[in-house]
Amino acid sequence: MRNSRFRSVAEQLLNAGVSPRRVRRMVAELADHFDDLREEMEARGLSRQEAELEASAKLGTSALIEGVLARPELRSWVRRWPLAAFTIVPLAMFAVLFIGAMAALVIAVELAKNGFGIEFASSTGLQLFGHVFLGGVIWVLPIMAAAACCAVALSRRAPVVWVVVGVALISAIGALTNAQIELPPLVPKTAFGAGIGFSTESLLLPITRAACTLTAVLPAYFWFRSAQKRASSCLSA
Amino acid sequence: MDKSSASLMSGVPELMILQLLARNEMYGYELARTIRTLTTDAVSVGESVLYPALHALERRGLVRGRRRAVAGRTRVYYSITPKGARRLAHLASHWRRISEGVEAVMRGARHA
Repeated sequence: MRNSRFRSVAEQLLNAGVSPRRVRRMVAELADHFDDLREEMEARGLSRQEAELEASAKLGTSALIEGVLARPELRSWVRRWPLAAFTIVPLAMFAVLFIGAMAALVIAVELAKNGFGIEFASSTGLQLFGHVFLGGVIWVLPIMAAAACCAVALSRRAPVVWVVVGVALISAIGALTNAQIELPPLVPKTAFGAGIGFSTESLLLPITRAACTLTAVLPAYFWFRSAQKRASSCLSA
Repeated sequence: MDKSSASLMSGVPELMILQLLARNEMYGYELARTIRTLTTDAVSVGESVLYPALHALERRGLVRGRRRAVAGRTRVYYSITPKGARRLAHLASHWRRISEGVEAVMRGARHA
């Protein structure tokens, strides 16, 4: 790949907090610029090897990296506002996912009733689906939100402390959410309920759920992070 | 020299880039080469200055970059935005005032 010449530059820019999209574009521009310079040198009579050396020297990638570092506005929003990026945004994303999942369940039940004439209260299959779905919402959704937070952090090379804060928040809030189905005769008609809160009498379940999210996400995050660091140090060596 | 003049001196690459893009859309290498040619190598906006400046200008909404395939290569062409044109007019008027001021001093020194 012709951009591979600039992989080390890309890595340094990412580590400096420049967004991956901007880094990709900058590297593509540098690769083009390098080719243009090389052709210019070759047209002046230099051999290909000499032209490449000359073009490399003229591009001065380390000065370019310094130039980018001197402009904080080129850093991604995740690196400029980590507090918002790893607290407000993941919690908002989790809330949207949670509400969206509950809405999807209600729509599916209404569709089954109005489209196929299947009543939730009388269909054991549909009830099984509902309970499995709610189990997913309760147990898997926080893991998905926390994993998304880690993925963003890895791609933006965000400081580890913010990632831990974000994942801990999602784990805590995720563990405090609840969702249930109430069926007749306990209630007059089938009802879906969801909320947030905890009872001091049953703290074990939320603690288990929070621990589940943390252990599902953080070890994988640290593994990918160390692999990323190894690759980065290989490039700069 | 007032504060805005001081920042103008450090903003010479910005002024030249915006001026050139006001005439034509250009890609990075083309801009660097044109500056070298027009200033007969008196001013060289090196690549290490050019790309961070271009991306910062784009970030501020003063220029717009778009990919275009030309002769088998996909390049990022930059063009000036209306906001960039307003900024250029502002920078250019400051630059004229400074250069006229410097020129007046130089004339005075020659006649003294």
